[in-house]
Amino acid sequence: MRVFAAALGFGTIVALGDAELGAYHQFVIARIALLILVTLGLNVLIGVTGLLSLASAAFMGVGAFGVIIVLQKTSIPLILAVPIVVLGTWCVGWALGTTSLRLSGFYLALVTLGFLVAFQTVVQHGGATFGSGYGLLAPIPTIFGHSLSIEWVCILSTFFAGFCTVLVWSLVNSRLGRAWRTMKANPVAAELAGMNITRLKTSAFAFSAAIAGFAGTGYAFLQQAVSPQAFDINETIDHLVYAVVGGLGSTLGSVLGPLVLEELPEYMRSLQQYRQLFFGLALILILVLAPRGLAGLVHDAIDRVAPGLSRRTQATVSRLLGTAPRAGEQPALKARRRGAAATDPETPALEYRDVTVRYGGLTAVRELSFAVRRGQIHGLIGPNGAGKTTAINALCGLVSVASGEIVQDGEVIRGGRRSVASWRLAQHGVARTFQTPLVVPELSALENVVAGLHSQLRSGLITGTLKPRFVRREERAARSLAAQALERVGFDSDSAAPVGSLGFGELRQLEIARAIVTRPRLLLLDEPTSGLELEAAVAMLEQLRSLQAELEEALTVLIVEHNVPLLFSHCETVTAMIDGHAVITGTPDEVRAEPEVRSSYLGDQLIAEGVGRKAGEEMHAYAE
Amino acid sequence: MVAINVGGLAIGAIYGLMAVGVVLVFRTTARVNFAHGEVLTFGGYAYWLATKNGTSQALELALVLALGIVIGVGFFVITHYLLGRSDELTVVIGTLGVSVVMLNAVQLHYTDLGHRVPGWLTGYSTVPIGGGEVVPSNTFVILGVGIVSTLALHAWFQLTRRGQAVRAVAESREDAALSGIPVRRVLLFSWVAGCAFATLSGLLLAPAVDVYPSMGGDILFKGFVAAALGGFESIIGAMVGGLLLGLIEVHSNQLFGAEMKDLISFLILLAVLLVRPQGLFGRTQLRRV
Repeated sequence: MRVFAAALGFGTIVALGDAELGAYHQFVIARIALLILVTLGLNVLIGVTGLLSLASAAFMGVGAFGVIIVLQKTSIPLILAVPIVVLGTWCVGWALGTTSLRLSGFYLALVTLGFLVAFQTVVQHGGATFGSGYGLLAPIPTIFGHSLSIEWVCILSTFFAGFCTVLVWSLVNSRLGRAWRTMKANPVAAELAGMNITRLKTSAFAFSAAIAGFAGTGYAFLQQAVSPQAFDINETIDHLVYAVVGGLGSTLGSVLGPLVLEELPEYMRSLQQYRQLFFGLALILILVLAPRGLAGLVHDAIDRVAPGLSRRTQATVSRLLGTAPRAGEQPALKARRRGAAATDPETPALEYRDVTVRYGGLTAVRELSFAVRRGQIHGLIGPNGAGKTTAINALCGLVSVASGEIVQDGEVIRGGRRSVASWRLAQHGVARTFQTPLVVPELSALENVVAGLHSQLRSGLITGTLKPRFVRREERAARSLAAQALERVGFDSDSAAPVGSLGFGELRQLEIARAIVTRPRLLLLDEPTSGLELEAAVAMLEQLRSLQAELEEALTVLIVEHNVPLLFSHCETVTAMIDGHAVITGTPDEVRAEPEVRSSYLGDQLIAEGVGRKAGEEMHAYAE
Repeated sequence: MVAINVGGLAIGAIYGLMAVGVVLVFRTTARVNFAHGEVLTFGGYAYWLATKNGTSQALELALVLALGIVIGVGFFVITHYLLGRSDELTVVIGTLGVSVVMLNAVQLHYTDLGHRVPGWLTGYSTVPIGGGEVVPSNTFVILGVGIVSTLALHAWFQLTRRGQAVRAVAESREDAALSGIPVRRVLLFSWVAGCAFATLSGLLLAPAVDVYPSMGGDILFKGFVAAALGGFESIIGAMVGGLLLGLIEVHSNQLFGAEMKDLISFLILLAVLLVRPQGLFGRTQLRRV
């Protein structure tokens, strides 16, 4: 409720400020306040989630036309009509999202462009209900029998804009906001951290639609009339320009954009005809010259004038919100798990049974069979193109299994009649890392690890925004656990700084911390030591050993690795793959003695020692 | 009745040409150009200016195509140099910005007034098609140029070494670069060819609807729907999608009135995405996420 109080307070302050202005400025400010509201919603979608919608004007129109029609056609009072209409916009957004959000990103842009033209068709040619193309006059708004003057409409619009700004900011800094950012940076990593991508996208889109709808209801009463032309593609482009110029992904940006771009033309009325041209140019120039927008410039300026100020502010804010860890509090998260470790100790933690994976005509994995015993560190070796990573990707659901099945703790998770969705694997106790670490550059190291706990936390859209006690408690617990995980993997950089500037080794540590923070039963590491110094690689494997000893539930680790000597000295069991097939599974000594492995793999390795080094140097030169 | 179908196919060919341009750019560069409609408009205006000054018809075509090439180079520079380090989303927003600038530049300079232009090669002549019906000769020029240029482009992709290089880049930019294909040049080619297709559609469309600032922007969405019908992958699919959309549109105009046509295209897009997201001709499964 602290967030609610803060929002109430902030809204009241800006509304009081607005009440002090003269009638004309009051109107201008109220209009800008509503535009800020729309921009907030759109910016969450574009800047935080990475989806492009061109329908923000249409959703605003749905809200504006909707509330007038509800008031005209029914006897529902205003105070109920607005929530009903906002809920309706949410539903329209949800339905529209389900058609395209399973597909790649730009389809949403197409569908929303279509929705915009369809909306225009309906309000222009939909008949008398929509004003026969001329628009509708808004009835005088009344609350509990008192009719509101235009002055009050201005004040209320400003109040709600201020109120919602705080709420949206709180939402962006919640479990959902974190998930949205993770998904934008990397959908695959997000899914394996337990995030349901389609649902996250749909909720972000519906949310931005509902916010625009809410702004639309205010707009109807502020303008006292609505016309179809007010909600066309030009209006959408305006919203887009506000978000980009203000700063994509930044709440401050959503406020700055409309404020600067709409207050400015007030002083340049004579140049009105050049407005759109100027907006278009501003859009391109900002994208090219200052992609983080005005908010980015403000942040940079603050960092230059008072270094460390923004971080101190951040720390203070999270203490006030009650999400900063407290001294003496024991972190506890109730594990949300599906499936359990099998009771019979002889059941393998993981088993591949005749798994085949094809990419078009190419068979990458061919009747692969091996079992991983519980509590072991199991190595998977093989020359380049042997299908090692494909085998792991098949388990994670990133490629589909053509035949055979993959069984975890006695439960078929791939290839059976019922496959487990990728994002559910986290709840099944599976965690993985990637060949090149996939982290979210905008988030701090700590937040990146907390993102790994997504499936263990419970807060949603409303609870994440209002942050009631259970949310504050779980956020505190998540932060403590994340800090412990970082400590355990030996991460010693500043965990509050954005990870963009970290070195490769630190990114590896970070990714492993994100994987182990969920206390997985099965940890999949895809070439965890590549790009690391030998010492760092050894240290990492030894950390894994000590981690295994500490956890109460047996941790099984499957490592795909190029560095064969390192694996031989740290694994209990090794499987050797050649041409998509498991040649042998056994102790390192047995695998080493296998003739087929010797000729096909270790022989190559000898050549690779000489040739590979040169190729490696070339690659580094290329990368630089 | 015949006239309606012929007219539908002709407007469909325009949608198809737009879709071909969009797909051409999208396949290799993975960028959707939201300024494609304005490029068409520029083509229309260039054609109008050329006819006003009474040049030869070969020169008119050359001028329009040359403008397309210049604009294509411009887009290549913007999307691959100025916004070269930005993500897909930023580039798409950038093309929206370009479309706003182009549209307003035309509006400010030439006003919203429409200009009537004669058909390319055919002037204002008409062709009788039996039953007392006549259609403008330009209709057949649209159909002919649309279908022939699409087939020619397709053949070029399939049969020539350079066409193969473009397809290789569309498949995987990294692999193409490793096999020694000049990726940058292929991307430049895609933008240039895509924009030339747009200005060419402008030349073909102008006699049918007059030249005005939003002539391209108004039908951009139709081009996208045509491309989606064809699965956003295949050139032939884009043209067939366009022709189909044109036919559906004229018949729905008869049934529900012309003002409903945008709504109909939107419903078609939703239906395609829900039932057959890979398009009518798409073979490959769409990339998940």
